[in-house]
Amino acid sequence: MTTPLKTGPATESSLERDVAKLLVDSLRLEMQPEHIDPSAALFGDGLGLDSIDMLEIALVVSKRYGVELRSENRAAFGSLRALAAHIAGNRTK
Amino acid sequence: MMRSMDSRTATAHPVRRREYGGRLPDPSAFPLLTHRSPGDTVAWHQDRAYSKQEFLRSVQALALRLPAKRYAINLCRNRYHFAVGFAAALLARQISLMPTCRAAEPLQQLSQRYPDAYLLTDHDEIESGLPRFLMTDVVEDDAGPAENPAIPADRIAAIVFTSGSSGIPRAHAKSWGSLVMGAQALGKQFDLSTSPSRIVVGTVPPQHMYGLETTIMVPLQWGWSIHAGNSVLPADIRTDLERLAAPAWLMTTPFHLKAYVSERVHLPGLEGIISATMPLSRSLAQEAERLWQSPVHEIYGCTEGGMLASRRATSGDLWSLCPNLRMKQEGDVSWVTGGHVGTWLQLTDRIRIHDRREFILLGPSYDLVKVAGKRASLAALNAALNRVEGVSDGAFYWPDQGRSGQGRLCAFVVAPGVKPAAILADLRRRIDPVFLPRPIYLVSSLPRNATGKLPHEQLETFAGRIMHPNRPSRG
Repeated sequence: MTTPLKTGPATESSLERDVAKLLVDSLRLEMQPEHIDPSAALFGDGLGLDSIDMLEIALVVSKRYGVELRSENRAAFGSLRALAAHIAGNRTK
Repeated sequence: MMRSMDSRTATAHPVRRREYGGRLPDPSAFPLLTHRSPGDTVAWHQDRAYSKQEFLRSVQALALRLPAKRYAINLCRNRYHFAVGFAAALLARQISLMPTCRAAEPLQQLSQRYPDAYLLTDHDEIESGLPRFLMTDVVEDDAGPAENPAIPADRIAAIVFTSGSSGIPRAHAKSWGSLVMGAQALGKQFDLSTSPSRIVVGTVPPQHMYGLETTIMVPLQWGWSIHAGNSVLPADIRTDLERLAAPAWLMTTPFHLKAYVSERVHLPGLEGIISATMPLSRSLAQEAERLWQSPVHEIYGCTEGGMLASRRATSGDLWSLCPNLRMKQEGDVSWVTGGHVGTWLQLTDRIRIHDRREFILLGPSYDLVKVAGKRASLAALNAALNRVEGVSDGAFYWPDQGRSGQGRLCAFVVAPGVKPAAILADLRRRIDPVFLPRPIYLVSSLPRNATGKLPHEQLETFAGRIMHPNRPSRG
């Protein structure tokens, strides 16, 4: 595991907002980014995303933040907060 | 460890070994697999090879432990587990049901239609309330020799589903003989060789007819091996390929190929790529061939018939029909017959026959939509949309009939006072999520004609106006 960058709560929530906007824009979700509950499940009953979305998320996250998502990072796909934390800890851009 | 849901199962459904022991090439039966020696590799999971002997012992052991039921809904994610479960069910004379989706409601509907069904799975993520047999690893029955069973050609191995226009999935039974003949036809079409053996890596689930044919039946019937992985993420596929001991064939779709090409993923050791579920653009195929130095082939087929034709994606528009099939056409409607297809099967696409063995694909019939390999009837989706609380009228629309890429559907909905998010939440319970409209356009009315119909041309013009309000209209 890469050590997370030192970021304060304000930075983290701003990254969460950026990632939320990225998800809404790239997946054309029918909601405002600020309405995504950061701790709700992205797949299944939460946002109801599917396996096609998982590949799309991996692509946009790689392009925007330089983070390669793998299936072993399953936890990172758990929620917006988990995804943002994984990006914060591994981003190269 | 395998856990049996029902301790009576071992005796309630005995496998009559005598019946499966035959080794003679019998036209009315086909062997489970064609690997020659007991040590031949049947599957790879990470760096572990599973031999023919291990596979057959696991299959025999599982066949004796399965619940005494008639239908197994095989939801295994690990492709090797799927293969062991599928083969064990076949030996135990159980029919594998291939659900089109893992959502709770469709699984419930499946079990209502097939009350004597249970879930055969290798993970515990599904909450459906259905009886479940959990297979978290495969065990071997080390007593007795590992026999390669000859399975009667007319035994029903699987039931696959397509969406009917009424919204109730239509069931299609697949006999073991038709699956084997399909795999043989597929291998001949691409000139596959039984020796040396190759590894099949797939990005399509084995529960999908195309995934079953290419990632399970081809390895079993051509002496190749199954790669157990089920991830579609670029980094996973790259790592999987880097670790393989033999050249691989990638069975995939235009959706996945487009993603891997856009990422410029390093995919080493590919000998062939097969794409299906929707037409691949020539530029994407050329880019893929250049990046990975591997020919890109395309399959044209359908759930009912399996593979029907193929083409080299970079070399032209003509599709070559499988040698064991014949086709005919009347007006806009075409049929194929023969070999693994059986009696005349009507195609859901519009084609133009070029000569007896070749045709050009014109496009899907106007009722059909395909997203990520899944097929639905627009009439059925519209019926679901119009059942949503507060929706007074609504129609799904497939921009450009998918020609512009792997586009999702959108919908035009008349629903005064209702929020799109509420419509989506309701729809999510009714249809497969890949067909959920993105986005929903709320409109005041739809351009229906005097008889209440919504002609395709009118809807197209209407959609153009709503989706691109600043573009000058063509009419």
